[in-house]
Amino acid sequence: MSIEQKDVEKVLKLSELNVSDEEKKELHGQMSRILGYMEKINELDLKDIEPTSYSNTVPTFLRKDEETRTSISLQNNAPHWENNAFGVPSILGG
Amino acid sequence: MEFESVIGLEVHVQLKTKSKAFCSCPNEFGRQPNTNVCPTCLGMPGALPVLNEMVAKMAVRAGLAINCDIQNRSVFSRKNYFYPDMPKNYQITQFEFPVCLGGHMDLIQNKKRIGITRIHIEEDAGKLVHQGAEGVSGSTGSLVDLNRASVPLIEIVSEPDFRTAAEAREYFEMLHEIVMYIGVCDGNLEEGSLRCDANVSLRPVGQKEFGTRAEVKNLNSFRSVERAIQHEIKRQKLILLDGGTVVQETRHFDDATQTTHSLRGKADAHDYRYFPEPDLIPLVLSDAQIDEERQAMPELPLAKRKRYSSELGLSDFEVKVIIGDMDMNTYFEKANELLVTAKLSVTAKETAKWIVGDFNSFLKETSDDFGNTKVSPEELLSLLSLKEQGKISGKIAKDVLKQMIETGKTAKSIVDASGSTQISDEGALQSIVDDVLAANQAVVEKIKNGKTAAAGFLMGQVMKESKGRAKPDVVKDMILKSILG
Repeated sequence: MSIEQKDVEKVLKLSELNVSDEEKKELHGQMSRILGYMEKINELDLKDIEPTSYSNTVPTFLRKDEETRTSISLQNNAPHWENNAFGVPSILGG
Repeated sequence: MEFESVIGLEVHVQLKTKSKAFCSCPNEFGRQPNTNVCPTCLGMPGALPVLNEMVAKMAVRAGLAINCDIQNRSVFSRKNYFYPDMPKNYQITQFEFPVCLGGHMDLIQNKKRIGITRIHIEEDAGKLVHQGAEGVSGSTGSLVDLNRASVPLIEIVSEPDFRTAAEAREYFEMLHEIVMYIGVCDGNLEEGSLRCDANVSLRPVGQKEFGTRAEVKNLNSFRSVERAIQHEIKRQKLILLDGGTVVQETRHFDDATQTTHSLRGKADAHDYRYFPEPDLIPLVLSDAQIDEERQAMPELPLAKRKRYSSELGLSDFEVKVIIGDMDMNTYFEKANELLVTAKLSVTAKETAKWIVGDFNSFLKETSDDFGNTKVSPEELLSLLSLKEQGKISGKIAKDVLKQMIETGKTAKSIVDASGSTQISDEGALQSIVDDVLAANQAVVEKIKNGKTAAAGFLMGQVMKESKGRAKPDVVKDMILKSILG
């Protein structure tokens, strides 16, 4: 599986990242190498292996349904704070 | 050309937990913005989510109520998107391995089985208040309230089995009732506790393949589900008849204009890049845990309906009203239980009649409801018993109930204080009867001439003189006996 320039563009767009053409080339190379590495898995015989999305097998831990109120100062973390809410710029871009 | 509409519904149900899905912030509506937040639901780096046990239980309970296969293992995923309502830039949801698969629900009125595809657990997003415009378009900025971020939801996805808007509406109504009765949701539509998206497409009658669908969002009432689907069917029909093609897109239903409009200008295919949430381990539920929920399952509305009408003899109207109001239902259930255990002569039917009728309308004149009324089910029953034993008349019972609702006093104390017990003692009534007969000689003559129906007038007079306390059948006998001997 190889990655093309347009795939790189798509990933950048989905990630809302803006990079220079030079960086794009560099990223293209890096992403190709990652996929190439993954290709090695396809060379193995995985017929009897279940797909794994988690490598650890700890038992399910669930939290009791109890509420606690945390008091944190949000103003200091927000560039724009108004009426006790985070202010964000126009979402659709003006 | 004749078209057939194909509709599927996705219903988001807000779970009635004390705390949020993945952190212990309170899950409550209507607080001051950003007061129910912590580093986890704010998506701060390093904060780790842990699933709320009650969320898993409620999801299982909902699944069992609509005949799903509960999965012993389900997995959380990240659904990635950029929007300020979710500061993490992803929503934790379940994608490939949801907690419930394959169920069904039977519509009563439309007599049809609707397939359930799946139920998955996810977190709600925060709330945006757009500035300078009604909606997001044209706004100069938005204020973000994250109290709702990470509030637990289950999304119930149906098969595309609906063919009419009415079927979809009935399903939504029934689902609303079920989630309330199994105690997983408060059912408050105004507060958005249940939200529905509808996938609507049209195809020529006889065609097997589905047409292109549009997804209509923002359906928060039974009526809007029906209206939005009706409008969408009409809109797509016009396009198809005109030789055009329906665009696959998300549309927003506007309650004010009763129309839908496109939410996104471009047909920008979603690419949420789902992947397993590395911060959460899979949810593993043992058969014993699932069984525990099955055992704890309360009586479902459908079974309740059947019991009320066939065992208790309630009318369709009474059943509808008593099931439609959870507080009233709890009240009625308590009263009915007491009836049985105390072996009272009052019937469930009679109790239902009073609860649905006078009690309900008197309550509406106050700020109380069946959840907090000053009249306990025990007291209602003692009132109805007094009436049943002939100690007070139906009319007086009504007046007493009204006072009980207003003051919280017991039926007995009100009746005793007002001396309004029914008089069935002939001695006590005789003088009133005599006075009435003396004052209405013309009527007495009529009765003597065989017009016994005229006794009704005299009875009315006696009732009036006794201030409603005379026992009607006793009075009637006395009148006829006095005149005819």
